[in-house]
Amino acid sequence: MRNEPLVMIVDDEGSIRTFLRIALVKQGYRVLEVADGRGALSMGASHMPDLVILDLGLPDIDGIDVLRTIREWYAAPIIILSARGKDHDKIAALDAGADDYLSKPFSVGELLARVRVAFRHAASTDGAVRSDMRVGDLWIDTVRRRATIGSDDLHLTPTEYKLLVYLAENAGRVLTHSSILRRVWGPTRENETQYLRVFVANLRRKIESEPANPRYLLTELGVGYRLAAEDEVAGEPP
Amino acid sequence: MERILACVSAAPSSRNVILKATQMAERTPARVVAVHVQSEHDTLRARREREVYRGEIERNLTFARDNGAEIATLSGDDVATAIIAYAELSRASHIVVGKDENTSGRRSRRRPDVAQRLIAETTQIDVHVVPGDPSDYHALPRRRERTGLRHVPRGLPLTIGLVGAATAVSTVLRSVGFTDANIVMVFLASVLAATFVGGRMQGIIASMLGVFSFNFLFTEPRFSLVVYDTQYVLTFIVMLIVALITSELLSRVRLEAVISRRRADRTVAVYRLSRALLTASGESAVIDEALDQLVRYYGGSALWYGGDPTTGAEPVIRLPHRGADRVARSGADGGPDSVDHDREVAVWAYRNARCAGAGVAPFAACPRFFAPLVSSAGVLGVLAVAITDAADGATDRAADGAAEQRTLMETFAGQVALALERERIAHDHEQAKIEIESERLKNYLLRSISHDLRTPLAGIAGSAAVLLDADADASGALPHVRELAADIHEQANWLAALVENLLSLSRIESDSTGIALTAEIVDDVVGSVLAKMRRRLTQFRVTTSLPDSVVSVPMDAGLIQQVLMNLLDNACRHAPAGATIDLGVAREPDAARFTVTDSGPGFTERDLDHLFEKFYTGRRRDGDSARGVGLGLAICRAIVEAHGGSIDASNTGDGARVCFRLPLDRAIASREPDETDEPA
Repeated sequence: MRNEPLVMIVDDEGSIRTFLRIALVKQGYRVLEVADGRGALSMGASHMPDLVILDLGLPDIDGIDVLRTIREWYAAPIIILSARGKDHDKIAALDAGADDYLSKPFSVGELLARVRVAFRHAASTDGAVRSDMRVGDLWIDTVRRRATIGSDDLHLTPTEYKLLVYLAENAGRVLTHSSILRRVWGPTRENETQYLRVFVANLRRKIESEPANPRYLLTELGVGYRLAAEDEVAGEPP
Repeated sequence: MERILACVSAAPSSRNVILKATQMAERTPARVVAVHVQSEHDTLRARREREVYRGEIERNLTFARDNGAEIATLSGDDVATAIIAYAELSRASHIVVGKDENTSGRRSRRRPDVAQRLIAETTQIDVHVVPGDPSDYHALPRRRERTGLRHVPRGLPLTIGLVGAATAVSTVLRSVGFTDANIVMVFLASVLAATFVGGRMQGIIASMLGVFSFNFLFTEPRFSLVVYDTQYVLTFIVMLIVALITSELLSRVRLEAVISRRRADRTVAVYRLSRALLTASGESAVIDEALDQLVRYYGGSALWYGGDPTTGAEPVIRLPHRGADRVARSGADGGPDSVDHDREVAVWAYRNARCAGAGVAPFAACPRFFAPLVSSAGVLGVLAVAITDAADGATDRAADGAAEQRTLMETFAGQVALALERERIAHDHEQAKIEIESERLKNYLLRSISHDLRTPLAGIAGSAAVLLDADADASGALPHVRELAADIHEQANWLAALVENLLSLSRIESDSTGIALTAEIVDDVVGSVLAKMRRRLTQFRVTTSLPDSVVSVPMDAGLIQQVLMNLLDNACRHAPAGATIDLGVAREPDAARFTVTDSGPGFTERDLDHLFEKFYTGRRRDGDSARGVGLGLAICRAIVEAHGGSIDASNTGDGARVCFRLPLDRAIASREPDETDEPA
């Protein structure tokens, strides 16, 4: 019983904490509820939860500051909750070390999926480089530097391949524009978001059967991109 | 608009000039300005000429006015220079001038023609020369009544007295033994004195009387008019010449004084008015001051027709004796019908935005002069004063001439119009400030309430979802709980969407500077909308189409996402389960066209007319079947229009289609990926 993962919920809204607790407990997680930033810092340090769900709009301390402080000594995944339309906060949070984010209002299913992805990544980060990666019908062979969708070979440019690998390594997680640009093109291109958008749109046309309604390469509008997690794609009709 | 200057003088060719200018103005939309140069020479001759030709000039200027020209009276020594200066100042493109533009007759022969000089001295301006008709020219009256003659009877006794006194003094001097030369001096003194007091005619009379009495009393043979010594003939002539020269000089000085006094009067009047208007605040105060100053200058009563005189509102009448400010029931200083007649003139002046009355056609007979207050926003009202004709001659003002009075009145009207316009702008500004303030407050309220609604709604929706989920596990033990939870979930989500719409609306409406546009790839927006709507769209067949090339559109992605979500939501709400919903984007030459089509029942005729109005829901609102507050499409329109785009709805025959376009030309230039990036 004690081996079940501990999730800390930090939100000042009681009703949200309640339904999150019920949903998470039902999935077999243990839950710790905290209503403010100060509580998050002290409870986090004393209980060392396995995952933190953190609302950015806290009454006492700015959520971003709480996130930065926790990140100094805490390596486990952190999922951010924030109001819609505050893209800057989300980007700042992701760049400050958050693993994922969800916009309010969000659905419970969505949240649980993100929690699962976060745990999966937490388990795999210490693992070595994988020789291949699979998301739905998308298969990437990192040894031969080759990617296929179903039985079709994808003709990717070296940069497109690099981008796809980076997304696949983080499947299910949101990657900000700037982090993708930094990782794939290097620090000098970090602000050329528009360039990245056009690039992704072209890549999408190679991967997706219906680019307007993508299954794999998902857009987090104003924030970045996300390659769908394995279970997300599986749920879709082909 | 272009300006055409028509040079107007006393010459009959001026009419041809005006007609020519008007014709030109009709061909290219242009304004005609009739320019007349008043000589600044104050020599007697110049003045006399002015006197002689004044009637012609006025007639020509009136003709110009009747042909729709503006009037500008310039003053300057040199006609050509003054016209060129004005033309450059007013950026005129054409000057029309008559061939015989030198009205002054004889003098002209010594100088080059004005037309020639205009041609020679302008570079940027087209000069058109219109031939005159010399036969008309000679028909002009050459001489008018000379000034000064009228005063003869009054000054005569004085002149006789002066010469008598000189004679008496001379008699004394002669008896003491003074010579003729000294006696002539005394007579000269009397001539000077007579001219000084009585004017030129008196001077001439005095010199004749002087010569007569000198001849009669002091030259040999005395007491006869016979002259023996021819030297005396010279004395007479000299005396006469001295008298003439002196009188000429004196009268010139005097006229100068009169003219400069009138000019000073006018300047003071204009200055006084502008100062009074400057301190006046509020429209009624401006009018009050204006009427005061008009009464003060023109002597008669002054009238003000505020706004459109056709509405029948009574004019404000200011009578010469202060304080008698009242609304006229009967004519204030005209006949009993004068009010109605005045109104007629006022209406004409208002409609045509031109001066009328007091010698100006078409109401030349009306004693009052009506000047419309023309501003950039149209005619603000009509001011009227009584113009006293020179013939009545009672006041000094009258001597100024009706033309000057009218010109001055036009100046006054211009000043008052400016002041009124200033007041209106100030008032509008104040009003706009109040409106902006209240709009801001409204938006602030809307925003903060919506913000506060968001969090609890997220809680309610989430709780309901968990409840739904929990019940599913309990394998339908409590079907009514599941039903209730589903309802709560649905309603909370709907409310949350409404709150988002309200927030978007308040954001567009409060942001007067416009929304911030960034270049977004169409694919991204469509994809993220479909991802968000996935659960909602499961019961439908969704098809999509994108342009072949990657299109980047300048937009606020959050707001456009909202538009697409609203449109898809509408389609889901009105189309039956299993229907097809198509979301397509196509590239047009200068816009991206987004289309949402469903195979539902389509819009009704009535819907199509009101679809994009706020709070229009279309379907009858029985129970909660139609939950729309009617904000969805109104917000879509507001958002699309804020992007400079357009939105419209139509029926395809087997469903409804809403289509909106976002312009591409506001693009933040998109960069294509490097072509050097070769396939692996």
